[in-house]
Amino acid sequence: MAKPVVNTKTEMALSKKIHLGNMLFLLPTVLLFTFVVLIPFFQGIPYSFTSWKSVVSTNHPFNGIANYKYLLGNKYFKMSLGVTFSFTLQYMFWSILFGFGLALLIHRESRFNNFSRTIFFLPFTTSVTAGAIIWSYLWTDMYGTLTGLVSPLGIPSQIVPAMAIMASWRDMGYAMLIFIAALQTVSKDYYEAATVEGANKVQQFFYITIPNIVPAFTTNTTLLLAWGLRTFDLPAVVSQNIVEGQTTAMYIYQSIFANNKASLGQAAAIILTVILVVLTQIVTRTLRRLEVEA
Amino acid sequence: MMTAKTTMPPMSEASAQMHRRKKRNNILRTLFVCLILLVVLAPFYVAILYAFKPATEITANRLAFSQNPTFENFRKVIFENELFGIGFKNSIINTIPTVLILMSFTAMSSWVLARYDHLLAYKILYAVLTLGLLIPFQCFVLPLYLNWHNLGLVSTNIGFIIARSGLQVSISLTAVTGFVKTVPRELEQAASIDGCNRFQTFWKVVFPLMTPINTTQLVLNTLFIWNDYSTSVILLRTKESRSLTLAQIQYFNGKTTELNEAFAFFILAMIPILTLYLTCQKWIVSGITAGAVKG
Amino acid sequence: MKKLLSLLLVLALCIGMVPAAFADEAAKITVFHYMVEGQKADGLVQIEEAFKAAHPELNVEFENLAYSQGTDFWPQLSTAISAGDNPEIIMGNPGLYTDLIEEGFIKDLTGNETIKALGLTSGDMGDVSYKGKWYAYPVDFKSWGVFYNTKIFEEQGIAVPTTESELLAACEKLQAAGISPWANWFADGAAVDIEMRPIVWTKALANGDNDMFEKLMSGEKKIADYPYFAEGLEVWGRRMGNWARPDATSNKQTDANEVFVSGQAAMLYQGTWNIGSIEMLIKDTDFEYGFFLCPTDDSGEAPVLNVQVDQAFMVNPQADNADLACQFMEFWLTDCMGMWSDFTYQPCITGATTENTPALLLSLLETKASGNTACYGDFTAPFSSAFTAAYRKGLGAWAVYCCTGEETSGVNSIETCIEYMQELFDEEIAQAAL
Repeated sequence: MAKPVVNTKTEMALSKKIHLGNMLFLLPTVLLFTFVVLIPFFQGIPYSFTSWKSVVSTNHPFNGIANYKYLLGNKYFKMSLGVTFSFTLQYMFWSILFGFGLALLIHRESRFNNFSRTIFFLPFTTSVTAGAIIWSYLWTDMYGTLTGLVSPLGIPSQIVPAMAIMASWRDMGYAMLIFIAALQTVSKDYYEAATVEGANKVQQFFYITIPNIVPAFTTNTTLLLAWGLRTFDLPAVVSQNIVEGQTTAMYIYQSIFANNKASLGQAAAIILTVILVVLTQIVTRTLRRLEVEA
Repeated sequence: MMTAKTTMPPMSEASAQMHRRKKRNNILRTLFVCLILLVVLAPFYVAILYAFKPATEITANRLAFSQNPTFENFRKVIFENELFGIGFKNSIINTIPTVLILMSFTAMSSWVLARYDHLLAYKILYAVLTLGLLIPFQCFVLPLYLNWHNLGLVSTNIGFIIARSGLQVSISLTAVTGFVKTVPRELEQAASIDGCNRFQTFWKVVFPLMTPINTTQLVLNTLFIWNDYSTSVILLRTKESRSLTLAQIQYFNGKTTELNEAFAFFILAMIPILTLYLTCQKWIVSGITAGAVKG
Repeated sequence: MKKLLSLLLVLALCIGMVPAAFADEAAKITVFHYMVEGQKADGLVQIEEAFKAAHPELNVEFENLAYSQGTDFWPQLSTAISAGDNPEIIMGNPGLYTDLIEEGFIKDLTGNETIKALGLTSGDMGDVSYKGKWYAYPVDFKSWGVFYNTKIFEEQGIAVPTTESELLAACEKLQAAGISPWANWFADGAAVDIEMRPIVWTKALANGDNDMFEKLMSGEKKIADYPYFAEGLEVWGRRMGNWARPDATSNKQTDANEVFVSGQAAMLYQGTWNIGSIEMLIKDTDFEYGFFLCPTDDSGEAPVLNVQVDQAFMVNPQADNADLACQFMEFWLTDCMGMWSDFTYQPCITGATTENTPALLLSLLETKASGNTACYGDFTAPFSSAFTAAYRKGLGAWAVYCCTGEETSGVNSIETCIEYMQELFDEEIAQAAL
């Protein structure tokens, strides 16, 4: 739409009226979001500058940036960030690899493909917690019995890859649907034209398919990145007591609620939020630039 | 097939070879997909295995299907676990309004946000509203809980509905705004020329056009809210207010021995959601197409 | 569409508000507890029913909120209390809930006549005390040892071992016969902890290190200053031997019970809280099991029984019906101990029995009465939850190394394990100083 050109008083009044009307459309969402997310988020910030310990205690003396200083120099907090990043990367890798691979295999309409799609999306209908519990039995009962190996949940150094697989099992169906959706928007004419001009399958894939579905990659990457970096339910079920499986979200929860270090946990939460916002911004912008180039 | 063979000119050796290769590729592809299907279904097999096993049947081979499969575990869950009924009722009461609130609120906001996305103020508002996707829940759960308690909203359905809608707004908004951008505006303009005011235009013209994305959102939000654990465990405390997920996790929390019932519960809790998904699935892809890709 | 939508919305909201309309007049006692296993939660309901029947004039209602202790109990409890939502009865040993005590959420029960009348030892009372004052009603106690499959022991000609060497010989014999000696459940922090206690608690108390946990938490002493930890790791390491099952480090309590009851493993190192779960599993089967305290040396002397108060309940004076809650707890302690024990297979702290008390519980009670015990309550302070978690992380790493050979956080020997634990402890101490 052309940008509204405001040159007369009546039009200005009209545009004011429009914006006022827009406010009414936005109000319910804004109110909901403000009350549930924004206000509590800002209420939480001051706590991070205190030495508040147990949440039942009413005593929270100001201690400046001590919590932040401590966390930024702390080995275990950094380890939790490392676990979070490592998990997120592996989770994104598997989800996108399988999501994309399956989309390529079954994006055309057919009975078998529709059936497969339904099944691949099925894990997404389970709750993370229930899924994680079932998987812990699967690892021991099926994987353990068939291979004679120790369940990866029983070996701390293998917990992160195991969690990434479990999370991808659940979410790859979602990624797949986004890819299928994108693949279906690519017009058949392109391929026909390319075939006429003598392009082979591989060339078609790289010069037609990929450029056309870059937006789907962006969507998936952004979404999986945010989900991965915030992951909590999964480690809460499978790696309560294991440093090697403790994500930052878990570290925060443990600090605030389990180990009576409310202010430290709150500070860690704010650091994580900043990292998340910055990182997603960078990733999204880079991908958007790629989209334009493609 | 027969007619095709008779009417078509005899295939050249090369094209016959290509045909064979295509066929072989197809079979390979189907086999490969089937293999992944099996892997994806394996966890469900484990759940079903346990759910149909009599509680006292403990065998060394944990992979074999029970010799005497039983519905006893399901019966026990439904009739002896009072939390099942309570949880079921609450999950339904919580999920339906939340999903409807999200659908109407985000549809309205997304329309405005998408149509005016060339203005800085709207861009900023969009960025703020989608921040919820990035802020970890643990970051504000404590103040949220305290506020909710002061307002008397803890352990109430309405409190949960408000909180869960607020938490879900960001992700819904991203998808719906993306979709609205693909909807041509000519129809709206025609409606306004016809003398509709903006609300009429929205509800009569725009909202019906949003049906694909609304259906998708309906299903996805139902999944998120039906399966919610982190919010429920904080906000739903009394026995009467517990949701199905909380009732379910009770089995696994710690050291219970009723593993078989737990898996029966898991399967029962999945049935409504599965029904919904299977009924609506043909709309999901189309909704995601428009919503996600242009986001 | 719009009308239909808003109609649906209003309808759904109305349904949501219906339950709020029916509030009753009865005095409500909210019980916050973590009895998520076996028959305990049902046992509590039984006692509540008995109380209601005995005191119809009081018109009491109970609301029981159960959360798993390891994950949700404290988070749920602390958020509830910080918001002014006060439950009447809180399950737990006061030493772990010092914040609640300091903030005045736990009633001082010092000198309470009902508790006094139980005639408990200092070790028992220590578990329900903090800084010399009583803060909880103790109900039963727990210990740990080896559950064994009697049939397998008979078939293999193994007698109940009285020395460590006999125990290890039995393990080898079982292993040679193709039977796993142990059903382990090291994915659970409690499993690794109880493996250490017969040495750590017993030896520390015998040497007068009653303030060990207190000093470790303050940082005044290091783990390496107490030889019991190294010795505990060594003895436990020998028990794990080279016969760990592949599922040793990924199984939890329920899974290990199944492994044990299905006859895949001959022995299960477990707490007495598990008796009820085993009994439930073997109902209607001919499975038989025995129990012995784990011998940790070759002296041949009878092993010392570790004792720790298991179920204990604190009363919150800031709750509406705190007095009623006390009355209920006192009713439980005086009139319902036998009933509780029968229902839950838990040994009562008072030694109360009925004609139904199983032999296993009788023998535990007998050992406890003999005084050959090492009680957690005799320590000046227990490990806080944060230190317990840190300690168990270290022990878990040791279990993983012994069972699978995989190194976790550099733990590949007793020394490195102790270093790792100390590092985690130092972390806790540094955070506490913030």
